[in-house]
Amino acid sequence: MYPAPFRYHAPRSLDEAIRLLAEHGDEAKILAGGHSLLPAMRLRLAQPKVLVDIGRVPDLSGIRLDGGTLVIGAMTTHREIERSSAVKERCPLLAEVAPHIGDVQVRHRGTIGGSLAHADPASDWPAAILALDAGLKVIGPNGERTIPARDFFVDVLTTALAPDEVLAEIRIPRPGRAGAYEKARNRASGFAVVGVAVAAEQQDGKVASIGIGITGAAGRPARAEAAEQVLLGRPASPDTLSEAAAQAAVGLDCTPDLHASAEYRRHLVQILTRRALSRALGV
Amino acid sequence: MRIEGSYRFDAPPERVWAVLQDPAALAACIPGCQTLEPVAEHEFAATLSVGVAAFKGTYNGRVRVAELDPPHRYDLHVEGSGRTGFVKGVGHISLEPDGGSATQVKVVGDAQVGGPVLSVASRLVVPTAKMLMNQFFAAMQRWLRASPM
Ligand SMILES: Cc1cc2nc3c(=O)[nH]c(=O)nc-3n(C[C@H](O)[C@H](O)[C@H](O)COP(=O)(O)OP(=O)(O)OC[C@H]3O[C@@H](n4cnc5c(N)ncnc54)[C@H](O)[C@@H]3O)c2cc1C
Repeated sequence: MYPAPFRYHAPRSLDEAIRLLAEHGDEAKILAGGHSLLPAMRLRLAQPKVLVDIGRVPDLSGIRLDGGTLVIGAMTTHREIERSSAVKERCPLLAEVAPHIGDVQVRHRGTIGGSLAHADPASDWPAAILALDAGLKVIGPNGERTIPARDFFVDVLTTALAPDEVLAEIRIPRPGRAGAYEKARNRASGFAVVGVAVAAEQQDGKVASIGIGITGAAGRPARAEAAEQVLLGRPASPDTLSEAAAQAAVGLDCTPDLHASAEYRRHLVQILTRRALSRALGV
Repeated sequence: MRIEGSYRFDAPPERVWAVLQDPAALAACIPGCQTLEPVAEHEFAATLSVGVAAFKGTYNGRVRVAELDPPHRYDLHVEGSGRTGFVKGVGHISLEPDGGSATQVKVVGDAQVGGPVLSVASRLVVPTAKMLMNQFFAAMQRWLRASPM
């Protein structure tokens, strides 16, 4: 099916993009890689009257270091992240997540910012972004603010972004922590039935910091806080890891659907958490 | 698809029952409800305009209340369709006293969903339905708190 008619704008600056968004309010949508928005428009699930393509806005894409923080522009494609040597060296977790997304064609067009802003409950990046305690820098008519990943995902397809705000950067403090991503992939769509990302650090034989991010299981991605608490300050051993994994689904309102029952998702959360912890912590 | 939820209200079952059956409260609390008109006893025709992020749609449907056992339980039959798909289902709703002055409302629903929405977004259907249901009951809780005894 063809999408409903819409007007297309390709602003050359961020200011112009924000002005267009503010002017058209609810009727406008940002276009990034188009790999979530366009399929929805073709089925007329979404019928924005105005598209604001941010592909020509300078400085929204690229990977750089700002002090110890790894900064990824929102328009950076999944593929650029996958192939970046800086990411491989500095943030093993992100490098590991990228190849899990769709196929090469999807990764060449789709962007990390588009994925996060879309907040599909089965998308891969949110698990890693939560585990890494990333900050999401957004820019709107009233200036910029940084939203902690924990506060960003509100519900299904719903984030803390206002309609006239642009997600500009993903900022990852302490990117170098050990990481691992485990995913049970839906065979048809490639999206996560459940995905678990772990970022961790050990000091003097104990777990000094840990983030466990879970996607696919419920209506929005979440941190497995109960499981993290089990490990913090304790040595990583097969026993402590299993004890933690058993707590990984606490507080999750798991989704039952055609592909997996809620019980099965809960089970996957625990198993995949155990595996990801094991690889991230080397136990 | 199966959908379940449980909601606590700070009022006894009789009062919760009354709001849950009140057309004015329903019209105000059903997410995106544009019109809700009685077509028969315990039956309404509704127009909803539901938007979740960029996904927006207008749905026409019918809501019928059956098996009323005040203030304990009732069934809610829902049928609706729009350009993006259709839904047809029934929710079993029960009210249980929780202490002296509160009520636990439980919903167990079963619905069929079909149409174009499934080809791109089957994984979104259940969590979206759950989100809308949560919004509905949260609005009902506010409505009850705001309405005088
Ligand atoms: C066949 C296929 C398979 C896929 N498989 C997977 C998978 O396995 N795992 C996975 O995680 N994803 C998967 N995806 C989704 C893919 O990763 C999308 O590219 C991504 O979710 C959206 O990014 P985009 O750049 O294409 O955004 P778009 O589709 O352009 O935009 C998506 C939404 O985000 C908004 N938006 C975009 N950028 C910004 C910004 N900077 N600031 C504010 N709002 C913004 C848009 O307005 C729109 O509402 C798949 C997609 C396809 C088509």
